Amino acid sequence: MTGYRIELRRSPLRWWYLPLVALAAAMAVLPGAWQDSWPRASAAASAAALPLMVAGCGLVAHRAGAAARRGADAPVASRRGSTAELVSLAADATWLAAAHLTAVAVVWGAALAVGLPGAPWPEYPLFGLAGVVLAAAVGHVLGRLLPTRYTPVLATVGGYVLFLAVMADGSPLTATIGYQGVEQRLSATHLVWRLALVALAVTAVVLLTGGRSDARPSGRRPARSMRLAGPAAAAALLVGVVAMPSGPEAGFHTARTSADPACDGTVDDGEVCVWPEHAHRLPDAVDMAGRLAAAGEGVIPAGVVHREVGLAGAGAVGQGFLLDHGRGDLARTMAGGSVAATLPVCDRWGPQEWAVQDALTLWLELRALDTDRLPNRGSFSSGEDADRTDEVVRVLALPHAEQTARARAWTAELEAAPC
Amino acid sequence: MLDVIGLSQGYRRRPVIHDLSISLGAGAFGLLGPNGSGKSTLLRTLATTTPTPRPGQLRLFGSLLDSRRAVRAARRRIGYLPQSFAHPPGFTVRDFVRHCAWLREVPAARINSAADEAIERVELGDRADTPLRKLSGGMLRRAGVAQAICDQPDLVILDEPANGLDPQQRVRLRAVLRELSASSCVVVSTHLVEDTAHLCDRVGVLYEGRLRFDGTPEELAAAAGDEDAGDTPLERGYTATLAAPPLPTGAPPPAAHHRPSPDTGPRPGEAAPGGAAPGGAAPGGAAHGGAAHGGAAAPRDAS
Repeated sequence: MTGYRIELRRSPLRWWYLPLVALAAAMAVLPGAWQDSWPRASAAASAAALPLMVAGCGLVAHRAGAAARRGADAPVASRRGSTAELVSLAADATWLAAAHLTAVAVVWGAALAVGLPGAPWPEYPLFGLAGVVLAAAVGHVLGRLLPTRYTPVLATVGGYVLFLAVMADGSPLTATIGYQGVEQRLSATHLVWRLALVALAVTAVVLLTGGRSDARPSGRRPARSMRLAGPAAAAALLVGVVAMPSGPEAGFHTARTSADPACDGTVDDGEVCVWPEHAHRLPDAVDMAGRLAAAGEGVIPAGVVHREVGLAGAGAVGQGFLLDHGRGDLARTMAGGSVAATLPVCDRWGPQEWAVQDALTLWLELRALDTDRLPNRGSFSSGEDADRTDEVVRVLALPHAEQTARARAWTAELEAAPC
Repeated sequence: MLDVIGLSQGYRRRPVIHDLSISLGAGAFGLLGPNGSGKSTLLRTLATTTPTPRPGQLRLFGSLLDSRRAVRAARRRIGYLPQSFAHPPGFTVRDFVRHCAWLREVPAARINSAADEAIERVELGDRADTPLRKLSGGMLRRAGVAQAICDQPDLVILDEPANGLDPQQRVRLRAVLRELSASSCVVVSTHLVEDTAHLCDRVGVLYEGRLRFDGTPEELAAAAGDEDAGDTPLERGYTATLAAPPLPTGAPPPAAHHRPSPDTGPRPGEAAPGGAAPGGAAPGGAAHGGAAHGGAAAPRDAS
């Protein structure tokens, strides 16, 4: 511990601690909405690691190559070179990890102060920490093997390209493990992959740099196996990165099993259930359910059960209402649930039938929101020929009784459709 | 304590040291020689940071350095100040010395006290918590000496330790090294010929990678001729030996002017390096250029 304590006390990264905390905290909070729920706050923790990975790669490379750049002799050491290298890396990684954990503490402290229901998800900061250590190990190797004055800059730029620019969409190395939805959580497999990469990177540090200052017997070159071990470890790390699942099908996330949902009744004897982490937003959902019930009176039967996406009973994958993207999205997804509860969808429907269902859902949504302004949903359409959006706008301008009659006509049209 | 046997050393294809043999025990040995004569290469080799090309060319503390374990065991007993040493500028003097002691595997329980003692010995106690980057050249050199003498290693190798020191500091450094040399083998390279007279029991002159002289400072002074350049007898003797033929090679000359080492084995609690043949200093005489050498005591600095 003596060496570690000294390295920790004297690592130049200590001067970077506060700027790195600020950088990491900014990365966590700037995208916004991190304080909405623990899943979001937890995912923000993994995003906080990203700038530390980029900056850490360069800073550690700078520190690791400093002695060699000065071109001076190292003091005589009987301790194994691998131990000295590991201690140096550990000290640097500790400062980076401390910056990361401080940023996480800031985010989570704010979440605690708000009194969010549920609890933080610890695997997210662990995932971020693993990324930080991985970047530090890569920087250490680069600094030791290429101790030029340009290496730190190249390591930083390379880290940026690697972690943020080129591979950001599908790379397992990036922090695209951000927030996906309350019903999804970081996959354990993916976490294990990353931890394995960290282990390989640290092994590469030991084997590539540890032997350079080791005691060498007279008249002997390092054993061939020792000379090959370092490059082999580096190759294994690269193979690990390449072999890691990536892209949309990588399974970075896994669906959560239903926990103990937070539920409440609605005025029309229905029920609304949300994930425990969204318990504080249950009143919003209940209010919207009531608005939908009122808007669809005479068309949608009373007593609809609404469940947040991913909860048991929410229906097929992706069904259930969403609380994460604002009131409009809540109204849309909940209206869809109401329509589906009234008229179960049929796989054999054609474009006309789907357009009728869309029209019914849109009408219900806009009435619940008490507006006739169409939501911006990009280019989504039921199809040019079948689209009934204009018809919905016209219906919304009619008196209430006529609207209800028109909606009933849509319902009847769907009921009459063969399935 | 230290036996060099027919050492030839160089970098890539450039030979620097040629078939050099020497044997040292406890005491101070001064290594003189012009720039590029191979002094630093020899000291690096003695410090084991540059391995010898062939096994058997270097024996430390009675052990051949024929295994990694043996080299590590030897390094635990070596304090080395390179000519220019890598000093992390952010380290304080205290942490630097402690860190070097940690690298040398000084037992953890002793590191702090040994480091503090070494810092006091080089008179940097009031600067112990100053970062190295804020030290003057002389102070930095003394910090380097402190790490080399920390925990009083059996073999202390100092490559031009007096560089950057003012006369008063040089005198004090000599006193410290004399104290050390009572029980340790202290090898000092220097360009300051007069320093060797006040510090060393024995002096070697290295030129073009070959040992031209090995004897006491008095013998070096006695080698001077009237026509040799220099302001003092020692300087003239030094100049004279540069023109002398290399010493005979082969078996190392015994450690004539060094006291017998009280400790050629491992320290209590330390593992003995493998394959060791008992060695150490032996009484006798060293020869150079055909001149005979006695065992006269070196002159001592009274200060």
